[in-house]
Amino acid sequence: MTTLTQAKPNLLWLELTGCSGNIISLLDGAHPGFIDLVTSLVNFRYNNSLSAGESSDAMDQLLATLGTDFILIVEGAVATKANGRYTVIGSVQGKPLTALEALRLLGAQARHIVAVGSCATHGGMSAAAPNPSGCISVQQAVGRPVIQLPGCPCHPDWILGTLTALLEHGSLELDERHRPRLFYGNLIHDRCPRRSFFDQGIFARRLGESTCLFKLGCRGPVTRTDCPTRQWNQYVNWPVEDNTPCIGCAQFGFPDQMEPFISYDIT
Amino acid sequence: MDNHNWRYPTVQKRWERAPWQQQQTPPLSLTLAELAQYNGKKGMPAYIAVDGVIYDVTMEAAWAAASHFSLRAGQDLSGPYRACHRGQGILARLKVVGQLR
Ligand code: HEM
Ligand code: SF4
Repeated sequence: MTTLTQAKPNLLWLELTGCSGNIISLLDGAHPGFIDLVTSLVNFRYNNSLSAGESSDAMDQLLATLGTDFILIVEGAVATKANGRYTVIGSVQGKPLTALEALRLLGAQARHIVAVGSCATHGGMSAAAPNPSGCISVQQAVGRPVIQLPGCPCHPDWILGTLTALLEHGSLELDERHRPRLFYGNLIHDRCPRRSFFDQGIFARRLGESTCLFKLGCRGPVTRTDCPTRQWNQYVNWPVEDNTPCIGCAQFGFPDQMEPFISYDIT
Repeated sequence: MDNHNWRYPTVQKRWERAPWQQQQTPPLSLTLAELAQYNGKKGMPAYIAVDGVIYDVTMEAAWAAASHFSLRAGQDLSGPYRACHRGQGILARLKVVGQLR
């Protein structure tokens, strides 16, 4: 992998209200991979799951990046109820630092903010009804443009590809919902290897059948990602090829508006 | 040149050639209560109404499982349709099957 032309910026990865699924997904990246990220692309300064430092050491490292040139990646939604006390990410001088405070503090200074995963981009699982902690998206919480990388989880290539483009070119082409066209340009249904079954009206009636999953409730026709061509787990497979319908995890409104995920009584 | 949003070319689908699709049934005239039976389940087709016109979404890709962004077939969806698709001309591509009474 070639070294970037620009000086390496700091990278902060905040996890707010989520499940750590996106940082785990990142570790599965291959071309480039996580090692390339930390050795050639950025100075990775903070992530709660990966940091060696604990408690106040970790917090010091996070806050020491204020005033430097840094890119902020955020995973997880922003809990707002009770002044954000539903999600506390650490403590500073004995006082709890809420996710909401941390995001506002760092978000105001970051060179770019990249929302990774559907909780960060739209509220996702964390904001699903009845949304007990009052979760909102990163975009809603920071009030400045955010690059949106939805997905549950986000594909490592979507994260690393976006970062690489930002570092190499300063920007990348986004659609009207602030998603990189490179990864979110096409409907799954328009690239699906089972499309000819759809066009011929040959539909699976049960999970595990290898035809079009439309009648089981496939959300490929309303979801834009490159899953059919890029595939997952280092390019080996993706849900539809594994005979299970797309559940629209990268579409706004997921999960509530993508339900029902599976139906057996459809005409 | 706008080469984004590439779409798969429209092909004639097998069910569009099927006899039940071609036969000219007289337009339906349904009350809201009658429309509710056309929920896309257990052999019933999936119909929705927008501004008094009833459309068939049984084979609409975006309406998998007779549902679309929390909406369910068998209902008058004029309000939600306007909220998300106003001016997009999507209805012109759907099959009209009748009118609300
Ligand atoms: C009567 C109500 C509705 C009807 C008949 C309808 C129909 C459709 C159809 C046929 C498509 C596919 C468009 C295409 O192939 O170009 C579509 C796409 C879509 N609909 Fe609806 N819709 C309705 C309501 C809604 C509502 C309430 C929402 C908002 C929550 C919504 C959001 C979308 C989105 C986001 C897409 C496009 C996905 C994409 O291409 O990225 N629709 N709709
Ligand atoms: S399996 Fe899903 S995405 Fe693939 S052709 Fe069928 S409806 Fe479309």
